[in-house]
Amino acid sequence: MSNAHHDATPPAWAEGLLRFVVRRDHRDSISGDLLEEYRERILPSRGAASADRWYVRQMVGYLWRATWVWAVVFAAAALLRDALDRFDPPQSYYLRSLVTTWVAIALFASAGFFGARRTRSFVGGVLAGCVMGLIAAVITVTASTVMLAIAHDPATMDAIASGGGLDETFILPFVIVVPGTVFATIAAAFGRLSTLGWRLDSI
Amino acid sequence: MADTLGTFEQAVLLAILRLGDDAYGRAIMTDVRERLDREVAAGAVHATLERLEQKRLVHSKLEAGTPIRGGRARRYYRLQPAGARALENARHAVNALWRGIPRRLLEGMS
Repeated sequence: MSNAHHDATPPAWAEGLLRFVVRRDHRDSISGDLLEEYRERILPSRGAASADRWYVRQMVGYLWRATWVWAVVFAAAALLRDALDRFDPPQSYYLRSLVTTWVAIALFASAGFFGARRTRSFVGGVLAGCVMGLIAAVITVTASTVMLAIAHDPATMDAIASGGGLDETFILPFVIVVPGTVFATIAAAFGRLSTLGWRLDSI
Repeated sequence: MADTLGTFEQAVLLAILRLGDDAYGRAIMTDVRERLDREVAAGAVHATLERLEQKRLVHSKLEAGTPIRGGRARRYYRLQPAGARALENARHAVNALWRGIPRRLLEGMS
């Protein structure tokens, strides 16, 4: 192996993100394993660009494993609301909006709280909440598009229009990530504090 | 009865057993990849190791890193008695499934 490979480094942003996604007490060993694999096997056999892509894929894998369950639950809740509004439009959307909003807040907060507890990192919790929202938005918009392709008769289109229009279907899932991340941030602070409290108790 | 091990968990535990004192994260990853003859995600191996440690089937300790990994510590894993029992149970379960199936039955179909 050449010295060039010995000193090569993966994308700094990906390494930085990785360190916030994994448990604090495993950060060094996991990032070390990945760096060793990157330098000893991937880089010599695939070249720099491909090795960097490999590293980013590994990092995304850790991020996905940390957030996909919350994201799928979130997307399922959003899609259920979407389907109800389309196929069983109510007189008033107040109750449905209230329930959906609180479910969204609870899920962002849970992802932030448990993300911070698992990683023992405040930033890890914030990241978990934000990424969970983005993955859920992609799932929701994709599934909504499929639903729209299947059912787009005048009655359904009227129901969509009276429920907020297509903007609400395609843009809101991404817009909601911003306030959602605020809730995840607050919950992440509590999650991190709870791990500090556990440590103080155990002394 | 102890937890049933999945195939990937068995692969990771067997790698730890095979590697002995050299069983750290990347070495386990390499062993699993070679035995299963396919690429494995580092995250899958590390998540499995974390789960096995939570189940107390393995125990880990940190040791000094090497220059190739930027001096970052290596986490070495060791099989615990409960892990050895779980592997033994998994082997018995597979053997019991195969008992009474003559080789010719498969050979005639392949």
